[in-house]
Amino acid sequence: MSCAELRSLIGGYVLHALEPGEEETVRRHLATCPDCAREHEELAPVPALLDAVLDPDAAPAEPPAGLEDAVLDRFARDQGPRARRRERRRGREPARRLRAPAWLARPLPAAALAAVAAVAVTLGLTGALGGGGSGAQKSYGAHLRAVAGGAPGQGSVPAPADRPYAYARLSHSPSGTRVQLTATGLAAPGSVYELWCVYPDGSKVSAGTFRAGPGGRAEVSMTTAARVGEYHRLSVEARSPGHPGRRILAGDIAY
Amino acid sequence: MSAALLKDLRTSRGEETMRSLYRAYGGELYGFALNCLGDRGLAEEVVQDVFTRVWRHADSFDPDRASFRTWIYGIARNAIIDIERRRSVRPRLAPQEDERDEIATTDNSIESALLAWQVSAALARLTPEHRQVIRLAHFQGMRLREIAERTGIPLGTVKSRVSYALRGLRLALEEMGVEP
Repeated sequence: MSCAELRSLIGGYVLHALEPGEEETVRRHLATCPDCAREHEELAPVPALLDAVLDPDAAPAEPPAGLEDAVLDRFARDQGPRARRRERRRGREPARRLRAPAWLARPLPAAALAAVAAVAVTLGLTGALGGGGSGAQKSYGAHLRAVAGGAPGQGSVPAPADRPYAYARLSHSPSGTRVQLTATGLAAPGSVYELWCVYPDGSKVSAGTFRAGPGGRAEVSMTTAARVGEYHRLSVEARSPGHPGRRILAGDIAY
Repeated sequence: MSAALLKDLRTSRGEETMRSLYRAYGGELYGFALNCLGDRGLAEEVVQDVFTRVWRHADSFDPDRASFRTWIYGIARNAIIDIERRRSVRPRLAPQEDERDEIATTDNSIESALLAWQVSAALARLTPEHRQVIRLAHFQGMRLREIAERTGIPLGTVKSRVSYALRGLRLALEEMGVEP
């Protein structure tokens, strides 16, 4: 038996799935061929590891869609006081960071989510005007239109209500950009989307995820580390567990 | 790669970095925790605890001592042990003996659950064809000839497919930090 023939039998050999005659042939070859013996040594421990599994076809559990936001929200809340302590040691107090509260990041029924999202937008605007104490901030707008429906870009005529459409208002924030996003024509309530800031070189930074509310609408307030002026375009991707995001909306920012 | 990401956690790109870490490890940590604890809510709690500890203790990661994956699974293991202990608090007649036994049992069951989850995750990375021949040969105890008869796949293809499947599985396990 040649080494190439043996290599194709070695899997069946370590799983004890060969015919008795073949098994004996493999055993004799391994006793005289150091290369094939090394190959056998590498695969021989694998069946014992397989015994740790009860169901080989069980799909790994997917984490709930809201967990990522919950992790990031806890990070932002934890980071805030620490960053402020570091800044204080350096003798300056940074402006207060605006974040959605923790309960907003937890999975919620669609109706409740739409209600809190609306409140969050109100709070966000209030925070922008009163929290920083630095007066009016310059903001920029972007119309995001369906990617499949022709060239997306800026303009002033909203898309028909049944097609996806979003309007984003961007303003400077100490930690990057604050985004107020209103989207319509999204898929079923509860479906998950992600907003991206796209740079001229094609790279992109996420601004976070959100869910569609009743009627395929979403009104959300988000903060991203990307800085206003450094990216020129926004896009929205539909997300589903285990699949890459599918871009559904895009539009240039009117700087 | 992940050591560099940890440094970024303390910069203005911190949130983006945390998102990258979550996307690289969040899913598998959740699967691991769910496998150990059997409770989705507790598994979510573990994942949140792990990333909080990663952020707070980023300075203690030493790439010369362990890979980032080993480090983060060590953190997850401790978070799960904490939850297991909290969950199983009950009065005892001989606290010290029982406590030692219980800690050892908990540790062993977590190691077993970790291994089971890692092997499951490695199997999930294989193609359906490779997973099928491993299932039939190892889990159902069929000989390769029987597999060929059952599936209609030529015997020569079954033989080489089983060998490729096992090599693929070994590679996937190595990538997950399991040394067969």
